[in-house]
Amino acid sequence: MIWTPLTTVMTVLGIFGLALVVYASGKAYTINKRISRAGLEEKYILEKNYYLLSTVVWVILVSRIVASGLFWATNESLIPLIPGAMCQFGVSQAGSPYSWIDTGVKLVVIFAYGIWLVLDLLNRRVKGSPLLPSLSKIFILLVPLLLLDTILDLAFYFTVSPVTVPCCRTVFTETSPIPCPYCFVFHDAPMFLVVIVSYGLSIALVLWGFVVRHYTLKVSEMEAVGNEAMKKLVTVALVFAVIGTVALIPAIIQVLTGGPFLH
Amino acid sequence: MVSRRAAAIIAVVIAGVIISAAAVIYLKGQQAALVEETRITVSGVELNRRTNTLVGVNVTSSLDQQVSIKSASLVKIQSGITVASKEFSPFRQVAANSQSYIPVGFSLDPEGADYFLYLLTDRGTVVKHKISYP
Repeated sequence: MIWTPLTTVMTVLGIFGLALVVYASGKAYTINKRISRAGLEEKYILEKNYYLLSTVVWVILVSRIVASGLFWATNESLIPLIPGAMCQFGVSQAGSPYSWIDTGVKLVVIFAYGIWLVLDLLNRRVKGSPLLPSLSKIFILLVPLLLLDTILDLAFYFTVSPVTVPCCRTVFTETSPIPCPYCFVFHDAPMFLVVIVSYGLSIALVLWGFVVRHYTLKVSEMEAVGNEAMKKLVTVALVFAVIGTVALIPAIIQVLTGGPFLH
Repeated sequence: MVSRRAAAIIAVVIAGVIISAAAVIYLKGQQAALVEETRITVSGVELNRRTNTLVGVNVTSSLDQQVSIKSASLVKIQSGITVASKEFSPFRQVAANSQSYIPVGFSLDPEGADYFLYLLTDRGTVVKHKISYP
């Protein structure tokens, strides 16, 4: 393990996330199991329990989303501490195989976690909390992903050590059809980072919009709030798509200019 | 209305991805299409490892005529991007069958990388040399 302020934060977030997931998954399982057969009084108690669970899940999911962003910054900060590493490819080599799986997981978690957060926000705005059983179920479905996400973070940062590693130059040579994504995005064409983040958020918002539409059609009490939320989600998605497209112009200009053939 | 907007967003994102890929393919194609000058070679490289700078290069010409070096560019192989370039004013002269020093002063990645140094001649050809740093 290489102890730096960022790896320490990632470790703390991992342990914190793991503990809360274990706590919340038990509560969610109980609510999910009892709610369909509960009488009025028990339903009221379960609803009260659900609000506590909801707060805990918010903390878990928001902390995991923060950790997803910090993951890239932490890996970038480790480059000078690992001999042979020229970019995040080298850092991932030092933390292999956990690092590679973790990288894949980090690319998709925002899509999954956002679904629960958006639905919970809507549920709070509708009388009678009609999505309560669905939210408990979705959280139980998210538990394996949350466990994988937190455990991989801990495994990766405990494994990574200052060993000499071969970096991207062993894989991405002059004959490679594609450039090293880490060198390309994080070092030499950082404008593409804005493009990728904006487009990613735009797609995530559209995806969440489709999920909201599914529940709006399924649960009649949700119609007004759901339709309003869909409009907002798609509008924000449009804003991010525009930001991404605007950022794409200088990004492509940077890639195309400065070449030897232009002089 | 919402579905149409969502479809438009997905179309914009797909178009962005296609444009980016096309830009990278175009750039690779342009670099591959450069006519290489085989009778001028880079015979020496001066590096300053303290400041991580490519200070200059020695070029050896076996041509029977004088050649001018119009510009120099440094392309990072791992990303395929030109990370530094400069135009010489006046052009650097390389006399026939001789050696010349071309100062460039390009910053290199302190963590290391592979580069192609391109020297563009007034003949429309390029002198290409691979540099692995550190």
